[in-house]
Amino acid sequence: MVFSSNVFLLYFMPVFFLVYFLMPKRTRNYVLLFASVLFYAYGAPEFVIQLVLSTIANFFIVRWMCKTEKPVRKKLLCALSIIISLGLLLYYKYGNFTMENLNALLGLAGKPGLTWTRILLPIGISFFSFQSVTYTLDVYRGINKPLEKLSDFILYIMMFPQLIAGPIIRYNEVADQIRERQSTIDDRLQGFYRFVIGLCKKILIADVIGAEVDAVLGPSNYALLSVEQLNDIASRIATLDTGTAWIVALAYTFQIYFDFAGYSDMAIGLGRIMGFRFPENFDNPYNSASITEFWRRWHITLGNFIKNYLYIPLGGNRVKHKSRMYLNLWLCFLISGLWHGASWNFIVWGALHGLFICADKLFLTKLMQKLGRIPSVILTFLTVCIIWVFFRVERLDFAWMFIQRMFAFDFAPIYFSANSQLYVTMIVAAFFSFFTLSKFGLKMQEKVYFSEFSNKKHIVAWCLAAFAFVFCIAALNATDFSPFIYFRF
Amino acid sequence: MKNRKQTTKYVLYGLLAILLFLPMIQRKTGFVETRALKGVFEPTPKPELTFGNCKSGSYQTQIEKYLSENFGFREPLIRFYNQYAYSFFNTTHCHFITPGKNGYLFYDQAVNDYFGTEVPKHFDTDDDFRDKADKEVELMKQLQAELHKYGIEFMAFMAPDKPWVYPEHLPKHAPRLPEAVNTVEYYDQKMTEAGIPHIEMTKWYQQMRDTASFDIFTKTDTHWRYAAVYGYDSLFRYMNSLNDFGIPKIHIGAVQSYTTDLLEGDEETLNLMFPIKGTSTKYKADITIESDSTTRKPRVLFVGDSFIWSLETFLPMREILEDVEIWFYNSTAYIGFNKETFKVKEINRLASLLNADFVVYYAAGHQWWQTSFGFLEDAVEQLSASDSIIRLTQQMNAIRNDKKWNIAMQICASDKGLNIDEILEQEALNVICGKPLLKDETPIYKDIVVKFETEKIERNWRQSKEVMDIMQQKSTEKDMPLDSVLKSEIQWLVLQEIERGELVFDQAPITDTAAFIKAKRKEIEKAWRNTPEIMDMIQEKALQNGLPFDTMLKRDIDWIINQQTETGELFLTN
Repeated sequence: MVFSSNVFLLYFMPVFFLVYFLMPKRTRNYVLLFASVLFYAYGAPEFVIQLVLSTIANFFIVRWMCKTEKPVRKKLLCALSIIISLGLLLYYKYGNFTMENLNALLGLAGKPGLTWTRILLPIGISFFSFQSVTYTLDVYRGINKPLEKLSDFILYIMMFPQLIAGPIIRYNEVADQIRERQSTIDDRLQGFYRFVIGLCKKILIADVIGAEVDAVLGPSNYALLSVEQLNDIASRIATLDTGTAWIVALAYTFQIYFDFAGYSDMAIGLGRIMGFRFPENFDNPYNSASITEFWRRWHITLGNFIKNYLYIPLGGNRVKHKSRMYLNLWLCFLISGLWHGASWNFIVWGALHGLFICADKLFLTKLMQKLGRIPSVILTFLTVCIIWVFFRVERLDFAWMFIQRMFAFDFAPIYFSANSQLYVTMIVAAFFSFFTLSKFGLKMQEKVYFSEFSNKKHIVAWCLAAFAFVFCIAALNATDFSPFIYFRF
Repeated sequence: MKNRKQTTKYVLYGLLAILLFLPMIQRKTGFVETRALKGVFEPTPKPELTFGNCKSGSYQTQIEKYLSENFGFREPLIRFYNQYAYSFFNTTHCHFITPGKNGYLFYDQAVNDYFGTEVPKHFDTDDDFRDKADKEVELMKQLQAELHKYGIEFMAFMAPDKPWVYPEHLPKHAPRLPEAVNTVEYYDQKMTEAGIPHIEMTKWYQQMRDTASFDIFTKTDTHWRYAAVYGYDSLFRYMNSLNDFGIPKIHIGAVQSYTTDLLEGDEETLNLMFPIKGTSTKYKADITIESDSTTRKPRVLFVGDSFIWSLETFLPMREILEDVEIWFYNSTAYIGFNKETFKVKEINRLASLLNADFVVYYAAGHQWWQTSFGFLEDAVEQLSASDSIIRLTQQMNAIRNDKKWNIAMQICASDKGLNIDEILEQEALNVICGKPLLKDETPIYKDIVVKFETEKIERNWRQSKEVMDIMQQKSTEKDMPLDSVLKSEIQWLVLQEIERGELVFDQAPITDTAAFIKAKRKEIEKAWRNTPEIMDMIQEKALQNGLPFDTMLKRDIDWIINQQTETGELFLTN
């Protein structure tokens, strides 16, 4: 189930909150837990038992780890817990990719490939695996005590607002909130406003732009396409004029941001309604003046995870040779790329970001500073935009072909009225992406997202949110309802 | 003060709860009346929850679709967003429709064809398109030659395309490439070269658009409407020139325009909140048909697209043609004026081809290259059947075209639980081999034929969701049970068929009139005595006339019997 679906918006969410708030406080975690299991079982019925079992196993392993005095046994139990969490991720997410590449290598060596049944990727596995790791490591490092109640731990891993697409919440960030939290009337109302902001980002911007991106680049998962469909996409890319190629690249740049940030807003909003304070995941990433800054603003919780649980354990900045630091940095981004998806295009995407981060450390930041803030933001944005091509186009040859079209300088006239909804939506997306470059924009963002609301503000915000909520449901259903003027067959 | 502050928030919180539950309440109670969505779409049935389909995820997919189609206020919400998308961006989510400038609507493929972008979507090169077109024209030529052997004419009719007639209202687009292939012109040229009789309507309508007293295409309809009358008139005249069949002449009176609040066909499908324009202009003219009763009207088989439907809307087909079959995209066959519906692949296609006097291959210009859907190849193959099969099929057609014989065969097929084509084939073989005929064993007296026809219509109607929806609507409007509405509608239709001479029957032999009248009298008396309303009425009449009840009853029955005897009805219903 996704938040931007009728089942969630019109049935699951109202019924859940009604039951949740009607129940006594001490039972609310159980309601949330039950709803979370139901939410996950609805989307991945075959995987829910494995998820629950692995979570239970981790809970007891970590408790055992805490009780044990011997450091070696402690380490071993910590490793076992991490292996369980990451083992599931490796098997489900990278099994197909590993076998495909292994068979390709065997094919090159003239040997027959190994037989392998394709595995379906359980939704949200990348997120809850990492959350489980943060719990194990935070307890191991003594940052937090382990949870007393199994139900609280399952709730931390499976809490439905952030289960599917984050933010990745470190255990120490919500441990206290799981045990005890307050949900004031302001939280409930402002949580709803935040949820609606996310819904608007997703339905009114990302989905509108995404439809046009898909029309050119096809669906995002090429594994399910036939050879003919792939040929169609290839021929569409090959015949793109430069203007359209740039429009598509820019459109995807906005689509991915508004899609992901929208989902994070919805998660944060839903959490806030219940009194949770989830960490922010995005901080106007397209306002960044360098790739390094971009990663401080984009998917912040993943960046923090990589830094705390990968980069620092690898040695971080405290290494003997600078070259090792660059290698560590680059490796972290390579892995980050692979985390986003098990295919070569994601590895290239991560590797390119890693290269730019190293270049920033070497010389690029200084150069950008000389250029000034606005030119740096524009250059960074365009760099990110070009690198996104590798994220979106799953086939590397197609991605390369697309980038060639972006620089072919083969322009054709573009008719605004032919696709005015796309262009208007892109202008709106650009406006909200760069709005906070100004002080006024930042102040407005602060007021909308983080300040307390007066009664007047509440009335205005409620009216806007209610209208936007209704409008989003209208958009969601109208775009799905495409009747025919008559039946052909 | 603090309390007031909190109260406002609690009110908003309460309103929020209401907002979230409103769709569910509306779904359950329907407390607000909403306007249904128009257009053709397949509703999702409610899935059954089982462990298996839940585990596989198919239940979730189905229930999500089902719930998405069945929540409260769905219709106004969809109309609201559609209005926003149309008003601000001139877009629609309806399949096949492209909004143009000034409120004009176009068929999307026709627009693409106009701009030269449709052919590249389906063919790697223009030469591939030309190859396909050449092959099709060659097949048409073959089919024409095959049909000629049996005295049947083949002709092609290219209906006009709106973008070519009203290009100034098309949406902004890259200009048509000069080298882009013009599909209509290409087919037109090739068919002329091959000697295939055909009419290409676009050019003619381009010429008359500024002088005609009516719109060739109305603003918000992608199909032609009133202008089609002139197209069909040309078609029938041309058909007459090919084979002087005596197709009745169509006399079109002066065109009158009128406005209506009703939306035009394709505008409805946009599902907007407000009409594109306040009222729509429609046209009508007094059309009279001058028929020569001495010559038989032709039977025509039309194979083509949706541009055919205006024929039945604007012209009295029954007065012009003897019989009609429409093969819609060579997929669905609508047989006869009552449009009995079959799958084309399931009917006896050879019989249909041989039964026609004209086979008209028919479509809007832009779809010309894809209209065949295998028709041409299949028709040529059907006609290459052996002489004996052709003879048998022609005999079957002869039986089919003899109304009484056809009805006898239908009743016979129903009695024996066989397909009509199987019975026709059996009877045709009986004729060819000189064996006793099935028709001689099958009485077709009025009550048998009426009962058979009534049951057949009821069966067909009950299978058609469209018809049943209309009946349901009538039943609600008239506040009558559905079955009663259905029965009275069928009765009316059967009477119409009898009046038009489509339903024919034999008169039953009468052996003993006195005994028959006596039995009839008893039958009426029994029926009346079982009806309290009639009994009350007769009681009242008896009191008014100062007669005993039984005398009054007898007098009324006698009167009815006399009436029925005079009109002949009594004996016909025997």
